[in-house]
Amino acid sequence: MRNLLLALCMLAPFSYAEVVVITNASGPDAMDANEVRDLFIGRSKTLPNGQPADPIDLETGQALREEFHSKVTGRSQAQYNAFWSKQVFTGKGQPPRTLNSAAAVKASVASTPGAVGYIDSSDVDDSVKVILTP
Amino acid sequence: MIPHSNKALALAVSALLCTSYATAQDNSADQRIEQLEQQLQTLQNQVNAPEESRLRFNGFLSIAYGMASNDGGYAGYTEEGTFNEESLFGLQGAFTLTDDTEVTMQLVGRGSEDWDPTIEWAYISHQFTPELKMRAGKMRLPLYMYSDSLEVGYAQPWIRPPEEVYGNVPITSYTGVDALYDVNFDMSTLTFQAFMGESEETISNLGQTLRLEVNDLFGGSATWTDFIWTVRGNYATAEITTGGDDLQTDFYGLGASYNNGSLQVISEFTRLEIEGSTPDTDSGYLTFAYTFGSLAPYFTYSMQESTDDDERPYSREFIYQAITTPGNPLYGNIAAVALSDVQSSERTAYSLGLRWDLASNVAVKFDVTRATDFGDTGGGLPGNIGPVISYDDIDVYTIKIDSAF
Repeated sequence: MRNLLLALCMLAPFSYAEVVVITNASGPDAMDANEVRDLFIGRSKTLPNGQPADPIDLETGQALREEFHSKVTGRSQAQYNAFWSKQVFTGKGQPPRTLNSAAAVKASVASTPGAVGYIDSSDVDDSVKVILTP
Repeated sequence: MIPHSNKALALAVSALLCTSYATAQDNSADQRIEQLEQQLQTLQNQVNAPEESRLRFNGFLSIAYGMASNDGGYAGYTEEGTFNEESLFGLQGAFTLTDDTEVTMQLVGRGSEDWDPTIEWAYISHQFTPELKMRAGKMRLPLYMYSDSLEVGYAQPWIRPPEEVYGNVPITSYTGVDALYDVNFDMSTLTFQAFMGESEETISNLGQTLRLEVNDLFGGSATWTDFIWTVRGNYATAEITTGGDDLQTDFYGLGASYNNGSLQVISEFTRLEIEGSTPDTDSGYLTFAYTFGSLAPYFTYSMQESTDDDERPYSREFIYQAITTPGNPLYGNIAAVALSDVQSSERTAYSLGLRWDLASNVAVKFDVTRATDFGDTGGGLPGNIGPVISYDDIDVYTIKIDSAF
């Protein structure tokens, strides 16, 4: 029994680790995947509660970024980059800003009203609000 | 009893003291932490605040090397391999004047033009409402789905937009105004674009360099997209001239694309109608691309056909004979070639290619294109404008690095 519990404890962080979308404490309580996608493709610029949106992406090449985009924007890294280069060079806008670690994303979301980012569910704490588990 | 109670009192007092001391310490520590937290937050806000810098630069670079199986000149390629034909760089600067007003300029330098930079975009835009944006200046002529990002290879699945469709209109930009109006639905957006303006460019036609003027240019498009499906229809009209008569010109385009993240299907059909002997052309293509991780192979079938061959009744042999025979009324009149079937075309092309995203914002592409089925025509190849048709088909091999930054 004790061994089983121990094994479960060891397993838990892995089996439950998945990407979650977070906002600042002042942000909305929930958003659906399409609303979040629209922020990351520049189609919408406000959150459901009216706050100006500040979406934050991880830098390219991180596993969590790939997981988020495959679940939310439905684009591979290459296609997502290509999409944004099309937008940029046709004057339709700039991609979301990027940070180099999930910890930086969490800290920035925690301190920036309107910020929307994504982190691993195991890193969630009271400083941010989970609005979507895609 | 007393000593005991004394002891108890002492204990109680000391306990009280300890508690209050601890509380005092806690209070000051809490305040200190709160202060630090505030300072940290201020710092974080400064560090993390979205870059609201007023001037932004972006660029793109493509380096291509290609060669063809003969000197037909498809997409500019001949038997002699070259880096210059499709290599280019672009530099874009966008200057934010107010929250709603922006000035954008894009310089493009092409290997085929000695890398001399020319201004492709130079416009001021103003967002009047969240739905309505207007722009004035020099902009891309929006005839095709990929017109806006025509030279940004990194944004495209192919090594080049299908030549049969994109190669028919030598003008790629205009000077004027446009309006973009978005209608937002729950899951999708319908964008209307209307534009008017004019254009003047030096073009090459039938081996001659000409000044092409496009006046009274009006057009519009409607594009619906839900990010997976895109459907677009557009129309444009203009009076064009190369010095002689003004020729009424109409352009119709219909396009659709699908992209579910793995499978991409893109198709466009266009119809170009020009008054007189200048060819009217129907064209279209269908592309399939599939993404496997960093690899995205694609296949494109494309075609073009001139639809007014009866307006060019003379055979090329007859016209060349006439313009090279002293005493003939057409002797020396090179322009008369335009009245012959030299300008008639029929062509089908098959492209097989691969896009390999080898790093973030860098893609390497490989492509083999075979253009064939010219019928009785020269297939619209620059190498086939002589008195006899020299090439019945052509294969083009290209490798290209596309980058955006």
